[in-house]
Amino acid sequence: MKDNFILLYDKYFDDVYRYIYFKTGNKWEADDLVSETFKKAYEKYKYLKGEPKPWIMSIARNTVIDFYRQKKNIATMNGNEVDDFSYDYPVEEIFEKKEELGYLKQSLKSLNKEELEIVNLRYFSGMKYNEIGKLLGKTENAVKTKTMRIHRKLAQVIQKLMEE
Amino acid sequence: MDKNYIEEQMLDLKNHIKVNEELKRELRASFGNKPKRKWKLAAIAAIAAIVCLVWVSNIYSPGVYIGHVNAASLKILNQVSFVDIGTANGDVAEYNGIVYNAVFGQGIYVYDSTGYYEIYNKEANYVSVSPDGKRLAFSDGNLNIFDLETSTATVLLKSDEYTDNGQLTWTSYEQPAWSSDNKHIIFVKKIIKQGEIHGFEVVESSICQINLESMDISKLADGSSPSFAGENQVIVFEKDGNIIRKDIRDGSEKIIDLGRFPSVSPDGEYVVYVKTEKNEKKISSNLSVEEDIDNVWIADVNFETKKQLTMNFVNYEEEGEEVDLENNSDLPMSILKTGVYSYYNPKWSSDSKSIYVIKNNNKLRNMKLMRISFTDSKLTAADTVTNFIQALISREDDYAKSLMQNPPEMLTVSNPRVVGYKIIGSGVEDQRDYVETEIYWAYTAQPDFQVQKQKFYLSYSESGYTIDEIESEEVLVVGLSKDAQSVIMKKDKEQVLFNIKDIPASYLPEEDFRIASLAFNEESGVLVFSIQIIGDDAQKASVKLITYDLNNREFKLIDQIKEISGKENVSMEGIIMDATGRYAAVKLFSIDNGEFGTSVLVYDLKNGSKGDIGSLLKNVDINSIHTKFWDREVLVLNLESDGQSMSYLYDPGSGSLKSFSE
Repeated sequence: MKDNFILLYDKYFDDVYRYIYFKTGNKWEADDLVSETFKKAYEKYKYLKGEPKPWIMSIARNTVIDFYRQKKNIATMNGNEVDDFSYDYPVEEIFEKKEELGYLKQSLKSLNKEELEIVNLRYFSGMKYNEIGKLLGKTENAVKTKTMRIHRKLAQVIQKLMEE
Repeated sequence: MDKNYIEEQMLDLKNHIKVNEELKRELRASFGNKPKRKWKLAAIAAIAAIVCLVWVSNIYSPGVYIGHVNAASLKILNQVSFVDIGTANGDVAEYNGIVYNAVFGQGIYVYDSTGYYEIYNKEANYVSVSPDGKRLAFSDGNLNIFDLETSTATVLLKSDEYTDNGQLTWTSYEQPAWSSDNKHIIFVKKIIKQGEIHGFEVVESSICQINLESMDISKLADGSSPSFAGENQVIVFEKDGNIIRKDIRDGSEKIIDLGRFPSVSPDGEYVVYVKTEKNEKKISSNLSVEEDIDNVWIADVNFETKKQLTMNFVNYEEEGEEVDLENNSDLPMSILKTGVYSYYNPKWSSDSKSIYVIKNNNKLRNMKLMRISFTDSKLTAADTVTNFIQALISREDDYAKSLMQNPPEMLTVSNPRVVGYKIIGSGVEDQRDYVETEIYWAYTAQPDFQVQKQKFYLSYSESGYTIDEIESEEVLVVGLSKDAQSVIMKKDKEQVLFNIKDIPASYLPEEDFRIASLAFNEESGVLVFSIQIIGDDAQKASVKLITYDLNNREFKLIDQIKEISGKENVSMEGIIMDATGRYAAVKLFSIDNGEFGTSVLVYDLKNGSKGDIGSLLKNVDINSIHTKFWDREVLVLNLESDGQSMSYLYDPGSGSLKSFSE
């Protein structure tokens, strides 16, 4: 069982790490939350029956939500959805400071939080549309449609940036 | 734009989010294979049984005087790893606070208050510093002297190579150690023969001394790891797994203990060594487990007493190895398990008050230089709690566990992160010792700071205090309101400390900004917070550091940081205040610095002066500096340079850095 867990760990660590890091925007928080995600996964691994990828990603997502929920309670934040705390930083700052893809990085600023979550799950965590749908409580088609809209939105912003 | 363009670019962009490979490796090691069933219970019982004091006390040495007590009466004042030297093994020597570290295959390095830096860049495998601190003896096959004043190396004894009965044979000189009068060096001379088919064989390992004036060489014994004791009439060395004391006047030899790497203290009183204890456990009729656990020990040179200094434990998680504790074959089987740590070449400080040892973490596969300091007085309950909190902040879970009565299997530090502490009281309640503390927590780069009161209950045994129970009490939170318009504090009830619009207009930037890290000292009523000016095409990112005094409701601009280490576009990473509220350590980075190295500035909030830590180390190029915690009014830092990391202490009063060996 432990061997299998290590295989799962090796296979999905990078996806989980990037997902949480992009969602929180904070390396220190990401380190802790990724550790917590795999600790929970380790404890629950024996109950895993379905596909491991959606399973580990749902633990990662819930760990971040729990973290913000806890933070909200103690930090006296009022009322709003806990997921509002995600992507609450200049998202373009998360990427390594390379010249390439500069317009794309900047264009991500134009996305709202729900769109950033889809981008994160789809592209930075490598999830399939149906898996994202299950995780977010949406149909596969709804996720596809939203992804197409995101593409259009980003393309428009990039076009504009290139013309400037 | 091509419809696949965005898709392809997005997939590529994934690779621009950097994964923390170090965390990946460390965390993976913590999920290694563990034994099954009743063995696991045995393991937990074993851990519980060996819980007693191992580690630190207050992290910097108060310079205690140790009288001549026997080895068993010495108590550990602190135990701290302060340089991470990577994967290569090595040797260590110390003179008056300067640590010399031979790293196999690399050279000789120095750790002192100016940095960790190379002084000799060729092969060096063993090193010893002369009692007058002027010369090093080191070996690379040859026996050499390195003059520390002129930085020149000369060969004392040269390895030779010849053919004996058709087999290639050579001599190798190793493990030098000085006599107390600086006039002799004791060393090992090995004669090594190439095997007929492969490999080689050590056919002789003799202990010799060389007189540095006459250059006469004499053989004293057979064995290895020699050192002189007292007036050089007695030597201590290893032979066949025993630590031997030999009087060279009459040639008598006595066994002190089982062990290896013995080293005699400069005052001639004690010998430190590494001992492997073997413990065989029968799992079933045809299966047994042999545990070979290294620990560092100390004994009186005259054999009166001995004492174990470290508290290593079984490594159940050796990477890539499935430990199946069932043997279904007919043949009996024995499984060998070793400790989480291995220890090499323990050596004494020149004042005989500390030992230095190379410690390998077998799970993470990295070597560290560790110092163990002694005292002959007992640690208080508050000292023990201090050690525990420091171990938690430093993420040295093994040490923290060793101070707990019933440590959990995994000790994770969850968010927010502990950034400081204060001991606020101690006493006895229902015949139990307790220590009251304030623990400070913060979110990196976020305006969120918390103070939690925690009460530690401890019990005392001969080996010291252990923590039985921790009770968490009230929490005070200082943070930003959800609408980001006010800084608020919540204790029993929520109160607005100030609104952003209350900040003097001259302090507020015209550009985009956000409130970043903050820290609060309840006793002084001073809140220190930062304004992150967000960089864009028009302006550079920078940070303003401001204090708000709750007593007189006054704001004071402490500094605007536009540049660190010659780089613009400065971003805030965190602020930690000392327990008195006088000093604030501010961790920043520049996004123009491609390596994301962080810098630390320390402000005296009383007089506004500041110290730039990065400018204090003359002998080393620093890539990154991290604040760990305030130990009273001394800041504990970790510095990274060229793949190595090292710890230092900063005293804002004198504005100077201090090494852990001073």
